[in-house]
Amino acid sequence: MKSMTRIIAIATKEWRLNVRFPMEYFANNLVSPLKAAILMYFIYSGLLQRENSSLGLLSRDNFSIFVILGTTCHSLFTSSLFIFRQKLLNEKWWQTVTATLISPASTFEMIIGFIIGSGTLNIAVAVTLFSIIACFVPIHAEAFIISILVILLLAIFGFGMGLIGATFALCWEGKSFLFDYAIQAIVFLSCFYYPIETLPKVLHSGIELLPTYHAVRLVQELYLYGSSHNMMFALTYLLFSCAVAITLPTFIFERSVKKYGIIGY
Amino acid sequence: MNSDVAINASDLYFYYVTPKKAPLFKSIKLPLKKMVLEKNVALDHVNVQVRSRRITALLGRNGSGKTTLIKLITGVRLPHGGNISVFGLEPTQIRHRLGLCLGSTLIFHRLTARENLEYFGKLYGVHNLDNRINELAEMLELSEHLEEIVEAFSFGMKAKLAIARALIHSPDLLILDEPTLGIDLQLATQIRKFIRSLKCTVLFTSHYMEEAETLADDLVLIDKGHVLDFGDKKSVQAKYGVTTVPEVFSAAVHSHRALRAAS
Repeated sequence: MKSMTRIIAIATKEWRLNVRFPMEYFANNLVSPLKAAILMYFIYSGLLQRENSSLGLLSRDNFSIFVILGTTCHSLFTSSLFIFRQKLLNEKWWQTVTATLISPASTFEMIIGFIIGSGTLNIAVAVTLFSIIACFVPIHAEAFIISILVILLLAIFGFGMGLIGATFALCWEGKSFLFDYAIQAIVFLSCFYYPIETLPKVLHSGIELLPTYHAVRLVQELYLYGSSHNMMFALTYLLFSCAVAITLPTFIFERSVKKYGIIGY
Repeated sequence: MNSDVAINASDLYFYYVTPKKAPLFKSIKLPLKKMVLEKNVALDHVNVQVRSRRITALLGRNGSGKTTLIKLITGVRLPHGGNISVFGLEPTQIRHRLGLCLGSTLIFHRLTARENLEYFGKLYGVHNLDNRINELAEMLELSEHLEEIVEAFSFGMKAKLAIARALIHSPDLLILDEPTLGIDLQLATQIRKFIRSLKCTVLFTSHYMEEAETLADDLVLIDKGHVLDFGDKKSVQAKYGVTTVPEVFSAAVHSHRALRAAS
């Protein structure tokens, strides 16, 4: 009960901080998936203008769905990824992170509170976009539910990875660029905007190790073809990755803050 | 464990690892540099006790190890050697009994004063939170500003709010790092009076020796990571044959240096 009160307190605080400048907050969250989608729409409409032209999964008839699904997944993943870093960096400069860390709230409660307070809107936007797409694309209820589960798992994976970024921000801010480079590589290889077939074969085995790739591929296949032969493997791999991505970074965060301290203020 | 002892540190050792630039190829004098890590000892085998229900001043110059000691007492950092206990327990086990105030920080500048106090009150599971917030606001003359965003507060008001935040859960041990730094004389006097009225154990750091003179029952004198002396203010003053806190600090530094030189 006490734990729940603390989680709600952290989430409420986050929500209040977010809506202190509501225009900026809502615009960033609602518009960001659409910005990239519009850009990619124009690129693919140029590339696939000839009839019967195709690019891996993509054809002239389905690329708009492919693009909006990909950009929604990308925007959800990156926003989940950077929430902790952005928030904890702010809190580092205000030194409020110290106040929370020395309170009876555990790191786990802090993480859940942050996710509820700051991640819910991103997830809600993604779910809404997926639901809108489902109104235009014939998709089975079962496949739709699985696609929602997949984006939830994608967000959880992003939050977990983001905690590593937050650890860098608190303890080794000067080395945060390493995390950024790693994330850029992951985003590039996850094939959010393009089919895997467009990338060199030599990269394929590396790409297939990424849970983000499996998430976005599964969602795109479900919407474009109604099913995926890889579904069970992708779901299991995503679940496993999420479990690791939450527990391991939480441990690293806790140990690093205690061992190396919050450096830089 | 003696129930009169609030904080007990024995043989406490802590260092910071900081990067230092050194020439990579000294012999050929290339402008390339490599980073080497340097160990800076912040607390060197410190032994100290702070008595409960007393106001103790932790005095030392900049970089003497005061804030590091506070970090270890609050459990923000773990010591590299030695032990520290607060009310007989490890710092992380008594989080709900500790209150920390670091100047005018540890408050959210984009929340109102009430939202700040509500947030921390809920983290500590305070009962009758509204009553407690109103009580503290009244004591610290913040009642009229509870609904205002902290960003608009003056420095002094932020300092008072930071103290209210640290006291929201009625802690048994209140730690104040430079509570009156940058605050005008009148407000500083008001804050000191307020601290005097508290019933809990108080440990505060200050650069103002007169603050320790008027406020402290006990002293802990620290210099370059070594605790020079600690105990009842009058006893420590008598030990060095002086009557004021600045004199006692100066005498303790000289005595410690002389001892080290001799050994």
